[in-house]
Formats: sequence, structure tokens, C-alpha cells
Amino acid sequence: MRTSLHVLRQLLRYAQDVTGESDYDRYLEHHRTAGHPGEPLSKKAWFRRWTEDRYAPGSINRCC
Amino acid sequence: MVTRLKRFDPIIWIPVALLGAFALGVIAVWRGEHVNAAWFVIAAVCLYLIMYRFYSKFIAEKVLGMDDSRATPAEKLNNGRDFVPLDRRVVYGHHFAAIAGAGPLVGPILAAQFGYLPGILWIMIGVVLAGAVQDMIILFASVRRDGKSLGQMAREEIGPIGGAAALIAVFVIMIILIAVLALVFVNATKNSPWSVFAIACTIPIAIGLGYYLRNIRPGKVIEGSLIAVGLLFVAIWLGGVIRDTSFGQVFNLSPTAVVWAVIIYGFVAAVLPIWVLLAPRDYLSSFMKIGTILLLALGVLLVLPATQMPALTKFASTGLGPVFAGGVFPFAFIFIACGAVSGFHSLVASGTTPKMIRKESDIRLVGYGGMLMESFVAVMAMIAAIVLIPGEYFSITIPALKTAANAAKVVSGLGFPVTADQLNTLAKNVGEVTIVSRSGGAPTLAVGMASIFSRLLGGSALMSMWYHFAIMFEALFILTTIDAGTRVARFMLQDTIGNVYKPFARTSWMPSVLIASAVVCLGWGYLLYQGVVVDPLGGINSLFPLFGTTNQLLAGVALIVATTILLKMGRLRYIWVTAVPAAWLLVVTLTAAWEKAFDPSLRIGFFAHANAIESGKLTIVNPAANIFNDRLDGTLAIILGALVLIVLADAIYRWARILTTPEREPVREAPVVESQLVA
Repeated sequence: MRTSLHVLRQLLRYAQDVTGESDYDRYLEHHRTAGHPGEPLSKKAWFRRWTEDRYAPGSINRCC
Repeated sequence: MVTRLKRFDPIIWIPVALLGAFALGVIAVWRGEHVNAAWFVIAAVCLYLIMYRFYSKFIAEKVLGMDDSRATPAEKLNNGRDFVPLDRRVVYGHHFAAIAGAGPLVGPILAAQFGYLPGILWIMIGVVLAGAVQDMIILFASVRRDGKSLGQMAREEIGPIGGAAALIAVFVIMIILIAVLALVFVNATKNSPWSVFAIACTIPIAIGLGYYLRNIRPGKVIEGSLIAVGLLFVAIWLGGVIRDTSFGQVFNLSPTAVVWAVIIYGFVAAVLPIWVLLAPRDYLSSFMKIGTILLLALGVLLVLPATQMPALTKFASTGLGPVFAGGVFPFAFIFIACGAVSGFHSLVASGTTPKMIRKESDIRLVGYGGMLMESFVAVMAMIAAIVLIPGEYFSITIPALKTAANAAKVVSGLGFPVTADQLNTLAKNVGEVTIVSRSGGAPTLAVGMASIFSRLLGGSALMSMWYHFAIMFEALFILTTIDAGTRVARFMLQDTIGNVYKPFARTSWMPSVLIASAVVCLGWGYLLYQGVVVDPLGGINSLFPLFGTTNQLLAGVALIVATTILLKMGRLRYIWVTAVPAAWLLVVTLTAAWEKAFDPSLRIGFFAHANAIESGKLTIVNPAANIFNDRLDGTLAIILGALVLIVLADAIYRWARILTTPEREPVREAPVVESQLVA
């Protein structure tokens, strides 16, 4: 039981990483450690920018 | 520091090798009927494991000299946005989601007309020696150059002419790719109210998801996508309910109507802000993709269906295949691009992926391993096609058959017995009025998948649901590629025209957006229209070879770039790693381009076909338009061939200079920075 829960949690964690859900936490972490001045973006504002970034010119992420 | 070679574990690898060799032997020499699909899976998995363990390691350590003490661009340029070092398994997920599309699902199905053997061997051998090698080395080269694109690398490593030719090739491939996928889409959905309704529902569902992620629960991608996938299933079910009602008939579209719908859709989707349609649809199709691929693998492994298609059909030697014309060489290697080797991957491998690589040794798993998984998908698709009774396979896949009775007569006459009743029953089981001549590959795959899944769950009662599930899943892929591809091509066009007229390069300037999007949509829309409406054979025979040729041509270009880089790195003794697959692809693409243009056979050569119509030897509806299109397609084939030759000539000139200059020409890598990450 314990191990299957653990596996499920790992899977969810992996899905969050791959879909980019956990990217916001990573951004906050980066904002803190890199010592950027000012407040970090809110999750809403950050997600907007992140979505734009994913399909920015030059970032081909789709194939046949 | 390179990780030291681990101890060779003969206890594991010798049995794997023996098992793989045995399975391959069964596939290759078994001439009785009905080889079990399990042998395909075993042969593929064993070969992948061995080549990953030994060949990719050899490339990583000996050929490329990967060095984990060198900081990757993700580490050096970490900005918390696009340059971010991620765990290699996460990068693997990203990369696989990016490279796996409709391609590996369609090509193998069409090539199955030769029998399973040519296709399956090319998928397995092509991937381990060419496809995965290309992906891995281009990814490595891009990582060493701070994430530069293939076009930039071609320009810097080979020269401006080769670089420009590579860029044009990328643009052409985009246009043809979109046209071909849209063509597959049209064939899957024409006169099918169930499919059209379900797919139409994906648009409001995707828009709803986009709104949800932006305003209601920002960034909750997983929960939002799961809700939306649930709604997709409701849409599939509803489609079955409404298809026979008068409301359902609204969605009963002729092929021409679907063509216009797709073109308008493509334009609108490319102009709308990303978050409205493109991004949410992308999540949906990614979820459906991973889910369906897992389901298909599970289905094949649990059902272990027996294959029905012979190892080789007579079309392999005659070159008169009814699905598409042309011999095994070069066309099996052209139709199966994705899954064996796909030039498109080199764009992804030099696009977003290199910016996420944490350390160089991760490239082996992501580049080589990611492509192996895509190849496995192609093997699964092949299996789904060859478990169908050949008579049914051909009736669905051959273009321009009119009725079930007509199909039964023609296909039985080819030596694959099938009755009209059989075809009608099959159509009824999958919930369609007819399945005859739904060419393009997607419906054939959907029928194959439905037959495997329904054996797993639900029997024939659920077969129609499974079929439309498979159609919807392929349609989602294709629509996402149409959105994203139109946008990528639009950016390229804006950038190019921007060199002449500055404001045009601003990607958010509305006049530029509208004009560039319209030009791109007209480009692929024209090819689509001629394929569906003008060409009596429905376009697969003419457009798919062009698509395959461009894709393989791009792979050839990528491998030429890789070869140049290896030479500059002083790895002459390992040059065969990229030079041999590059040479093979050049031979294949040049032969295919030549045959499509100049072959005297009316079904192969575009010009011969045009001339036959012109001289009155061939009567056809709409002769003038067909002559024009044949000449256009023939010219495209010549341009493609010329582009390869230009890149090759420029590269050979460069190679000669590298080899004859005593001091080594410098590689254009970014400066070395010591990594701070603990390896």
C-alpha cells in the first residue's frame, strides 16, 4: 500500500514535470537564487508568459 | 570526465542477443501463415536494448567524446524560462512528446502493401543506424553550440549556400507536411458525421480548457487536461448517438467541404492568440497520444494477435502497388520516414530540447532513446495494419474504389479475397456507412486498433467506439500539427520577408501576421485541394512521396552537417557513423525524386502522367488542372533533388578543405565552461 502510493506520487510528480506544471516552483526558486530584484510574477502572469514562450518563433516543438 | 565503460555483462546481453536474433529469424524466414505479433515486439525490443547499450554508448564516448565536466547551455544560460536544466527523464518526456506525431502511425500502414517484411526491417534497422544516430548527434551538436538550430549550424559549419538550401528545405517540408497530414484527415472524416461531430467538439473543448488554464485555475495543466479528455469521450459517445439524426447530417461533409473547413480552420488557428486554441489542443493531443500509445502497446502485448498479411506481396517486386505506385526501393524507405529516420527530428533536437539538457551524457537517453521509442510506435502501427485480413486492409487503403461490391471485386482480383458482405459488416461494426477507400493510413490504423482493443475490452459492441476513439486521436495530432506547422512556417516567412521590408519581421504586427498566415495556408491549402478534389486518386500517390522525400532529404542534410562536425572534431576514423546513413538517404531521396519526376510509368512519373493526358492517351476528369498539378509536383520533386545536391556539393567542398588543410579547422562550439553540477 505504502509503496503503491509512493509510486503514484512519483508518477504524478513526473507528469507535473513533463507538462510543466512544476515549472512555476522552479521559476520561483530561480528568481530567489539568481537574486533578481523585485517581486516574482504571480502564477497567473507567469503562466501567461510561459505559454507564449512555448510557441515563440524559433522554438519548434512539434513534429510529424 | 566520461563515465567509464561498465563491466560487460554477458549473462544479460548474450541471451538478449540470442532471443532478438531468433525473433528476427522468425519474422524474416517464416513463410507459413500468421506469424504472431509477439515476435515483432520481441525482435524490436531486443534490438533496441542491444543497440542502445552498445552502439549509443560507443557514439557517446568514442565518437562524440561527451564530457560531463562541460557545462551545458541549460546550466550556463539558466534563465528560469527556456534555458533550464532538467532531469533527463523529464527531458525525455518533453522530447518524445515533441517528436512523436501522426507520421510513425501513417507511413508503416501504407508501406504494408509490400508485406510486412520490408517495412519492419527498415523501421528496426533504420532507427538504430540512422534515425536515432541523427537525433542524438544533432542534439549533441546543438548543446555544444548553446542551442543553435539546424539551419544556423548548417550555415556556420558548411557554408552560406548549404545553409540557405537547408532553410528552404525546412520551409518546403513544412508546407508539404501540413498538406499531407490534412489529406489524411480529410480521408478519415469525409462523409462521416460521427467523426466530424466528435472532432468539431474538440474545438470548444480546447477553447474551454484554454480559458480554464488561463483564468480559472492558472497552470493546472494535468487536472484541466483530464477533465477535457473526459469531455472528449463524451463527444465520441454523442457522435454515435447523433449520427443518424437530421442534426447529425449537418456534419456529413463531402471531401471538398472538409478541405475548405480545414483550410479556414488552419488560418484562424494560426492567427488566434496561442492560449486560445493551440496550447490547450496541444495538451489534449499529448495526453491522448501517450494514453493511446500505452493502450496500443498493452493491447498488442495482451492480445498477441496473429498477423494476416504475408511477409512479401507481389507488389514488392512489381512496383505496381495499388496503395501507392513504385518499388520497395526507394519508396518503402520514403513512405516510412518517421519511425525509422525523420529529418524533422533534427529541428526538434536543435530547437527546444537542447536548452533543457542538464549534462552531456543525458543526450544518449534523450536523443537515441527517444527515437527508439518513436520507432516502437511505428512497429505497433505496422502490427495494427497487418493483423487485418489483407482483403480488408486493401479495401480500406486503396484510393478511388467506389462501393463495397466494387472494392471486393478489385481487391479479390489482386489476389486478396474479400466479399462485399465482409466489408459492409466491418463498416457497420465501426459505425460507418462505408470504409471503402478511406485511404491515407489513419482509418486503416483505426480499424486495426479497434479490432485489437475490442478483443481486449467490449468485443464488437464497443468496436465502433474504439474506431472513433482512434480517429479522434489521430485527428487531434493532425490538427495540432496544422496549427503549429502553419505558425512555424509563418514565422519563417515573416523573418525572410523582414530582410527586405523591416516591419514585416515583427511577429506580432497584425498585417504581417495576416498576410504571412494567408500565404502559408494558401500554399498547403492548394496542395491539399489538388490532392483531394482534382486528383482522381486522392493525392496519397502524388503528395505522400513528396512529403517522405523532403523529410528524408532533411535527414540527409542533418547527417551531412553531423559528418562535417565530426570531421572538424578530428574524428575521421569514425566518420562512417554519420556518412553511411547520409549516403543511404541521399541515394534514396535522389532516386525517389528522379523517379517521381521522370519515370516513364504513368503511375509513378509526374511528367509522364501529364504528357499522357495532354496527348489524349489518358482520359481524366479535369485534364487541364491535372496536367498543371502534375507539372507542379514534378517541379517540386526536381527542386527537392536540386536542394540536396546543393547542400552536398557545398559540404564536399568544405570536407575537401578540412582534409587538405594541415591545421585543423576549428569547430564552432561555444567556449568551454566548467560545470558546477555534480555529475
